[in-house]
Order: sequence, then C-alpha cells, then structure tokens
Amino acid sequence: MKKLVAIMLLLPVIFTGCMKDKFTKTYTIYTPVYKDKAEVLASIGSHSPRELKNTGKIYLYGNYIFLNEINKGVHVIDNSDPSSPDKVAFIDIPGNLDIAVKGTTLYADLYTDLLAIDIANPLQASLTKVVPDVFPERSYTDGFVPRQDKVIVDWIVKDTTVTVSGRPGDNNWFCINCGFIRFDALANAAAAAPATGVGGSMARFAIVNNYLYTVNISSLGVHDISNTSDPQHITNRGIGWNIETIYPFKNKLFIGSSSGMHIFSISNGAEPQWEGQFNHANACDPVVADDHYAYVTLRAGTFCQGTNNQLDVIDISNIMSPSLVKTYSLHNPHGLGKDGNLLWVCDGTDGLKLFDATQANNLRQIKRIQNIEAFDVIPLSGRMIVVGKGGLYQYDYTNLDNIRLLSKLSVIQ
Amino acid sequence: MKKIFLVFITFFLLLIGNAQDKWRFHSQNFVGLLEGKSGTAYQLQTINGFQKKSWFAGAGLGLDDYFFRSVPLFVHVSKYMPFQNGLFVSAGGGLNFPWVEKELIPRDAVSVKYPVSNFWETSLGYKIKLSSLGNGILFSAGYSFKHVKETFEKANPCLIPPCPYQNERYDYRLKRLSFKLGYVF
Repeated sequence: MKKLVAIMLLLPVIFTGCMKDKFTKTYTIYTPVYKDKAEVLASIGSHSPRELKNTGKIYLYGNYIFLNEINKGVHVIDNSDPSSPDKVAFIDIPGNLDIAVKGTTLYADLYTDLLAIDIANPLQASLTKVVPDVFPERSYTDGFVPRQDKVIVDWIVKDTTVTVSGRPGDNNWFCINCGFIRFDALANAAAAAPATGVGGSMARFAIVNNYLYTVNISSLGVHDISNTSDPQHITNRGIGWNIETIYPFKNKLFIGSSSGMHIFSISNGAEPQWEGQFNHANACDPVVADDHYAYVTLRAGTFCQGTNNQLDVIDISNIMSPSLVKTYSLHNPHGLGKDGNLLWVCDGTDGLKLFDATQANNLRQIKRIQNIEAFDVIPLSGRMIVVGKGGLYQYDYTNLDNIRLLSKLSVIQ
Repeated sequence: MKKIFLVFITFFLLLIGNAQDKWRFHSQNFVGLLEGKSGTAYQLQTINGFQKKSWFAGAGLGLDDYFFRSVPLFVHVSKYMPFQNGLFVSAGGGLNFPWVEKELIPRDAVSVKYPVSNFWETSLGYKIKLSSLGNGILFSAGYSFKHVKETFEKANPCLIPPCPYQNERYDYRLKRLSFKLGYVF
C-alpha cells in the first residue's frame, strides 16, 4: 500500500513534461498580387467568359445581364433566351464591386476610381474614361492599406496554423501589419427604364436621367453622364454614416443606412435635396419603394451590429415625415424587389418569399421558394432574376400557382 | 481516434463473448480533480459495465470542467493486478462533447461552433474492497487528455460595408493530471 501511495504521488513528477496544454489557431492569410495601374487600365476590355465564383451585384440592360464578380470584374451574359443564358465575355476590372449601365456605357468602380466602359458591342468592350478618386474610402481595403502606386489584381490564399497562448479576446479585430479582406456577398437587382439598366435593392450605384448617383460610406456622389462616355464628377455630399444602398424611384432617391432610410429629392438632378428620414434600429437596410410606401428589410448580425430581422413598411405619402405602417418579422432578409402588388423578399436560408402587398398594413405571404439562399431579386413583369449563394437563377412567375425555374447559372465551389 | 475507439469496443466484446465465466455488473462513480497548466477543475464520472475475473469493461459518461466544460462519452477498461490485491490500471477513450458556458462564447462572433472532438485517459488506481459482492472505494491518479475545437466567424468593423468576415479555428489540446475518488457497487 505504501508503495502504491508513493507511486501515485510520483505521477505528477513523471507526467510534468506531458502537461503543457497546446493551443493552435488556424486562419487564412491573403497576400496581395499587384500590377501597375497603367497595365491594368490597358487591359480593361472583353475577355473570354469565366465561371461564376464569387458573384456580387447585378445589372440588367436589354438582353444582357451584367453580373459583378467581386473584386474581379463583370460577367457579360447574353440573356436573349432566359431559359438558356449564355456567358459571352468577362470584363476584367480589379476591385470592382458596383456597376450601372446607361445607353452603351457601363459604369464601374475600380477601387477608388470610376470607369466608363463602352459596351456598344459587349464582346468588344473598351475603356473610354477614368474619373479618379471618386471613392476615396476604397483606398483602405478594410484596415489594410495597399500600395497606392499599384492595383491589387488577385490574392494568394493560404491557410496557416500557428501556436497561440490562449483564447481570443472579445473584439480583438485590431492587429498590426495585417488587415481583413471583404468578399462582398451582396447581390444587386432592380428594374429600370429602357435606356438605363436595372440594378437591385442592394445597389450603390443608381442612374436617373443624365445623372449617376453613387453612395460611399458617408456620402452621396453625383456625376453628370449627359455625355455617357465622358462622366463628369460634380460633387460628393456628406449624408451621414454607414450608408449602404441607393434606390431611385421617380424623382426620389431612397438611401439605406444601418440606422435608417434617407429620402432625397432629385428634382434638380445635379443637387439632391434631403427631404425626410426614417430611423430604425441598427441593421443592414436595403429598400425599394412605390408611390406610397417604402419597403425596408433589416438584417441582424454581421457587420450591421443589429438584432432585428424584419421588413418595415413605411408610409412616404408625407415625404418630410415618413412613418412606420407595420413591421413584419422575418428570418434574415436581404434584398427585395417589387412588381405591382407583388413584393419579393430574399429571406436568407429561409428562401425567397412572395408577399401580396395590396394592403401595406396586411402583407400576406403567398408563396415561398425554398432551397435557395437568395441575396437579391429583380422582378420584371412575370420574369424574375435572383442572385443567390448557388448562382444566378431565373424564374417565370406569370402563373403564381406554377412558378417555374427557367435557368440557373451555377457558381463553382 | 477512431482506431482507439474500435480497439476498446472489440476488447469489450471479446470480454463478454465468453459465456462460460460469470459476468457481474458494476457501476463505478467518481468525483475528482483535473490539474493542468490552465488551472484546476472538477470532474465527475460514472462508468457502468461488466467484470469478469480481473477485467472490467464498460461505458462511461462524465462532466469535465477543465478550460471548457464538456461531457466525455467513452469506453473504459480496467485490469486488476494479480500480484497486488486491489491495484488496478485503467484506460478509456471516446468522444468529448463541449458544453460551453454562454459567458465564454465571444460576444462579437457572427457564429460559433464547438464540434465534437476526442477524450482519453489512463490511470493507476487502488480499490478498497468493502464486501464480497465487489463494493468498494476507488482511488485513482493518472493522465487525462481532451481536445476542444472552437470555430467562429466574426464581422470586423470597416469603413465600407459589408465588412469582412474573419474565419478562425482554435484547437485546444488539454493535458491534465486526473485524481479521482469513487465508489463501486
């Protein structure tokens, strides 16, 4: 017995060397690949079509769909036959997130610059103008300051495991000599007049008549595009913080921010005038509108730092004093689109939902398309384009009892 | 880890395969301490199984409060030494199910996951027999290991939303001394 006790007491000594807890952290390192800016600008044009991989915002123009590939460029998709869309070209634009089209000109951002690209023949797109420093915030890639004399065209991705001393603390996002990469998962869909393309409720570009409006984190930019191939930057006007989306409707701009919706009059297109505002709790905030109401989805979690997942219907008949009509609880809504009294809402993993919006204070869900994680939707008189996690979907909803999937362009995994 | 689990299961089945000798059901129930670089914590275990001659095999369920609270589920084997009455060696291994306290979960995480991982232990022990039916008091000391994984996704503040997500996985390989006091019936 004594020997046993002695052995058991010796155990701590014997096992001391094995007692070190080991903590490791595995994360992804992105190293930028640079190119000279002149070389990048010289290469902007139509190239061979590519697979969809990390799609962003979408713009419709005529029979073409222009689909952003986040930070890479724009897919040009011939949609003459919606049941068989055809990728016909890819326009290389490093740092591209937003697009808009008027006439035969595609407007796109290349990090801090605004580009005007001639797409009269989408298969032979060519750069016509560069307006520099329109989006100054883009010089910071989310905490990472890239070389200013060059353009990031790609990233080397590598998973790394390192030994650490303990658990991560809360809010330990600050780090030295490092930054974080954004891969925009938001899509862009909307509908518009013939001469101008159609963007979505998640858009940051909007074209109304002869003006291109762009929103940055805190400002509204105005660009004269009466000569479409020669955009002229007019002004950047401060309008608050955490500005996210812009939606044009008639002579108004509905601008979504994480804290509310701003309404601007563009009766004088060159000088938008603030008219009213509707505040809500912190949340991501795409918005669409009609003559009487604005429809705003609030999404919780993520960078939006909110806790609400809902659809707000706002009475805008008195534009100076918008008021809440009703709030509808949802799962995790993203973009939305309206076609007459039909309101489509992309509700995260809960699918794509259709509401009868005949009565704003009594929206009724009448359909739900499951098995799709949709980000944004463009409904257009019976045909609908949806950008989701799985790719680009097109539906025929002329018969609501038989909504048909026309086609799907899948993203590669 | 799977191989270790299969070895234990096979051994257990072999032990109960021979129907000629009598098998007796026993339940071992322990309270104890775990001591390591990350501090001292309590543990509870209940191991239920069958003994045949000098071998005992069973399945165990525990509560392990070291670093992250977790629930080990494991198979266990003990062997009583022929040359020393009451002395035994034991080993066990299986799965470790995290049961993390809410206050330990990062507040700023978009999503956090704690996947099931593994657990194993080995010890030297002594049994003080209280009756001929096998009741007794158990002491054991040994080495215990558990692996806890923590994966989370955080949205980092940025100038232009949507802000980037940071995906990280932490692996905690926790090595402890284990001291247990138990009762078997």
